[in-house]
Amino acid sequence: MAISRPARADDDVAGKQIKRTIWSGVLAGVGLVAFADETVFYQLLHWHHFYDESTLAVGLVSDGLFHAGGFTAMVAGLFLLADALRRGGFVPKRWWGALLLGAGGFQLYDGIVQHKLLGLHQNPLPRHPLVLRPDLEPDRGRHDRRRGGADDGACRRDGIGDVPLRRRNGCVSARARTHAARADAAGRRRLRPGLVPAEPARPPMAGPQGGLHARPVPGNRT
Amino acid sequence: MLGLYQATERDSMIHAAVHLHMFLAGCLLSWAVIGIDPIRRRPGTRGRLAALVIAAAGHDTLAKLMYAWMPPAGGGPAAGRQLEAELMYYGGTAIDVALAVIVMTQWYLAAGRALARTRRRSAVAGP
Repeated sequence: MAISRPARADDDVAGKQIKRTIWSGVLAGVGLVAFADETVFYQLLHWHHFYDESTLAVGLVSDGLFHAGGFTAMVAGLFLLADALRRGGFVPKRWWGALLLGAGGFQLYDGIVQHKLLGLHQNPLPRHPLVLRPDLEPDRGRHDRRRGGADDGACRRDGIGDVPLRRRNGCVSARARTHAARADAAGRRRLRPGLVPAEPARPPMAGPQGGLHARPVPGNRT
Repeated sequence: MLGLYQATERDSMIHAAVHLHMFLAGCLLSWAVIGIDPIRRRPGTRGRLAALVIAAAGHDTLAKLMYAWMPPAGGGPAAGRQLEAELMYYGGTAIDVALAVIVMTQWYLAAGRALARTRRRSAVAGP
């Protein structure tokens, strides 16, 4: 009894240590990828936005979980790492392997579930990756022309509020994108179909004098 | 909406009360998650972290909804409210990270105490 006890405790400790190291690595990997995704892709490269028009409500919830979970996973993973280091017998390779596992697993989840199944984070405009501030890019119509999409006249005839900004699969039509870009440029709010408008976003048959119409809308009045 | 927002715009007392309510709700969450008072059946570290993630996710989602759909109706100019929504989002993240760090610090210290205890015991009872 007295002999077997320390041995069992040691086994336990070793097993716990392995488990803890792996969990630490996985969590840190998840947190790292989530952080890289947010910081690099959103905030530096602007590949996706804080909010793009195609995002559905479920996407917002998923985004919130992703954001909160990612940071929390990073914190937890690093504390677990500190604990594993403190206990001794830490195997760095195990931790690095678990880190890669967590990072890759999270990417797989992000790619398949979030991007493909939920249709999240569809880039509002395909861009050259080297254009860091595409919102400053003057040539807004380039994309539409490349796609052979709607001409500008058709866009303007529809009016902002009437265009459903998203399709069922979460993609935005080139036309709606143009609209969103224009609405952004004019500092206008984007209307969501089915929601009570906060204020009259578009004066009916508006003239450009309206407070919300800072920019004249050519082609609308014929 | 229920017209509460409009009421807060009109009446400064209601405004203050709503703010107080928000603040107290945050305090309650913090107390439940990182409080050190002995309470019965406080969940373990994992449970508290999970609660924290869910609360923070709800906060983030609400911030993004504010950005996207801009409830409540009639609340002011769009650009300012989107800025506020972003502040809510990233400020919430900062607080979430701080709370997570505190939860994990508590765990780390408790685990350290347990480790020291185990080592002491094995040193005493060891061969």
